[in-house]
Amino acid sequence: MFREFLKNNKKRRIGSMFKYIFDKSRYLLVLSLFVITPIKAWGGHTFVGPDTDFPEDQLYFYWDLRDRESFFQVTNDTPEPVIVHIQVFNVATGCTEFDFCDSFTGNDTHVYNLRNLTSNDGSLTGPPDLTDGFGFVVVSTVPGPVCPDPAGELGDIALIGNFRIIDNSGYEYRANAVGNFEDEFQDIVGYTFNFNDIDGTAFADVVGIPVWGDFTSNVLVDLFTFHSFNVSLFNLEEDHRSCSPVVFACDPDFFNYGINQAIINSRGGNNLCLGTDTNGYVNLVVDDANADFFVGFIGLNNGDGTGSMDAWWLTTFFTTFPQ
Amino acid sequence: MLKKLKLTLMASVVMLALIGLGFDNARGQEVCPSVPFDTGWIQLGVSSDSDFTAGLLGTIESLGAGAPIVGGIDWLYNDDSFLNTTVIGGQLISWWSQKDGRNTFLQITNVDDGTAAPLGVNIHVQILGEDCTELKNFCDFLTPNDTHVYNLGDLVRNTGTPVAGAGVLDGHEGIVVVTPVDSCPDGSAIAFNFLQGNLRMIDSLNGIDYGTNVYTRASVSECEISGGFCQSDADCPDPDPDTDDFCQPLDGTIGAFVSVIPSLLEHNFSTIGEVAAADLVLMSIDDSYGPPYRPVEGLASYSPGIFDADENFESCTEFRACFVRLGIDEALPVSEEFTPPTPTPTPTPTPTPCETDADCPEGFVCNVEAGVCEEVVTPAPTPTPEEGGGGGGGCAIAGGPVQAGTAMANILLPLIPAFAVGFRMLRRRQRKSEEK
Repeated sequence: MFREFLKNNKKRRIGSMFKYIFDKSRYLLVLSLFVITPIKAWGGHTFVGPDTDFPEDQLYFYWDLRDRESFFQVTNDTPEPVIVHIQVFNVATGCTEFDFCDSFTGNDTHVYNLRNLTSNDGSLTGPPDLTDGFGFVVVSTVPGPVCPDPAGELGDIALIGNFRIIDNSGYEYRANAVGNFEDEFQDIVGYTFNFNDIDGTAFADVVGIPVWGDFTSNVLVDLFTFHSFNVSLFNLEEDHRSCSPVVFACDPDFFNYGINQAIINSRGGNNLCLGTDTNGYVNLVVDDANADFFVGFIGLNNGDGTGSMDAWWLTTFFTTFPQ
Repeated sequence: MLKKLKLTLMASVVMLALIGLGFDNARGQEVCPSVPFDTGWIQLGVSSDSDFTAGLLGTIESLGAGAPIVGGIDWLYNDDSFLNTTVIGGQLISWWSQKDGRNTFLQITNVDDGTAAPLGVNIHVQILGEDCTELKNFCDFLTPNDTHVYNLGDLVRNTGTPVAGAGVLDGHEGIVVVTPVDSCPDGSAIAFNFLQGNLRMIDSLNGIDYGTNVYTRASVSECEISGGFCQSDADCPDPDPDTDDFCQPLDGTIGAFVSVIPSLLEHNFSTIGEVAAADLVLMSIDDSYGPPYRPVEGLASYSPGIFDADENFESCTEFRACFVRLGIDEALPVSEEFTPPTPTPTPTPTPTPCETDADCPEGFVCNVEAGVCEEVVTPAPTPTPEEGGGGGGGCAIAGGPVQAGTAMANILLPLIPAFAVGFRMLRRRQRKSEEK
């Protein structure tokens, strides 16, 4: 029975798929809105969330040019040509957007340098000066031939990608881009990430990117696009610290945080919590959201040569088992 | 005579096996030797019946002679499953290395708040070497909301006791698997999908941090009494007070870890510095549910090919492995072959002889006693203290960037509920008008 369950529910790239976890713990009211329905036939319940392991038709990258160099690489891993809409959001200048279109032949790859943007097909002219800027990039496939797509349609071609942020002090943040599933959206309740003081880690970049981006190749971010979280921090002794609510938005004060007073923000921004724990993990529970997609990255560095970054972990989401 | 022939035959078989093993493992080599692509992407066709196959790609680069060395890593993209490094799960898998100046740290977290396992969970940590045989295993226990950082160079359990004999890991690398079990070390794997973790591999020779999330596998089983699917005991509510339903242990039939069987693994790579190297790590394991549960040697066949930035393609030699670490190509050899450029020493200038300052170039004065010119060094000015401003006891609302940020946050944060309510209403109205 179990094997049949798995076989019938093996993930497919597009279309309904089914797997995961079921949190009944503290959010019964919210859960009751999503979890209840028993289904007799296989209804193909779907799930969506940020993913870094599977080619997707929309990718999210973090970038930062404050004493850093930033690159992102996009690869079309199919033999078919694809047109992409690239949106560069600069949080430093009030979430201003610069966008352009690019085209990839089959099996094509291109490395974009945020300090000197060039397109893969050579058509880009007059990119803005992003010096001392920071923010995020969204790369979306479009059906073509018109780009941006007037209806915001996403294309069918999948992409892979990653970003590289080289800090002047000598460390690199590298991570796969976060992809957005093309499936029915469900509320996500929580996220988590670890932190530690390995190799003298004393700085962090806790980055959060809320967007109106679901199922559109024209992602929208405005002044009021945000996610707010209730934040808890646990140290190695499971001591729990409840921190003040935190907002992530496309705003210089709400985009990039440190962890606490011992692992402060790399760029002098605010910290999530008080306290001086240097090892532990952070739990972020969604309190409210005015966005339909959220991407979180956590970077840790020692300010002197070692650092690394990856996406936050999802703690809970919703699924329905067949009855 | 016959005896000699038998011995010769046996020796030949052994020799051929060793050669074959070496080729299949392809250690210390590149996936595509002699190919000069320094930017592009790599695609590996995968053929495997093993329960789990995945890989990582890390690269290190020198930004120039005397400049920093940078590096980073992440998991390969695959065509079989997703959310493996962004969703908490029921088993954690990672690469580890204690070779060539590398020290591996693994932070493991139990994010269950006690709902699924009020007392906590037993975990079995099993560390396989390059040949996929177990080098070390140990038991540990994570209470709710517990996290622990394992230093593979000095292994200590979360419970505080050192792991005896952990020195066996020195000089080796391989696959580490963390499995929740009902008892350790001889128990069954259980469905407990509340684990997450991250890897930080510090390379002290090159000064880099290979840091990334670990890989998670979900587990699914059936409730003993109700028969429904479950991913922890919390999914099996007791039908009445006299029964105690629970999520059955994983046996590979009723319950199991979700398999990861890709037919493609791929990733892109780039070179922005002067000299680079790579670590393409591939791993494959099978689940032996026992009990006790053991991750055992798997096997996958890889058919690699790489593209450069102009879509030029090179197909490379197939190989098979349970665990292997390779470079990519000639431009990105395996990391053991990384040789950063060394700065050219600046020659010491010959002092200029002099009798007076007039004999010396600008910025130099004559040391009459020594008879040579010496550079004039201007001391740095003493900084003037600031008046007023955002520090101290002042009430300025904005000073440095940290203070400005804090001040703005203090103003805006209390307004969040108002914003939220207001804009949710606006969005609902907007959506309703769009639906019409």
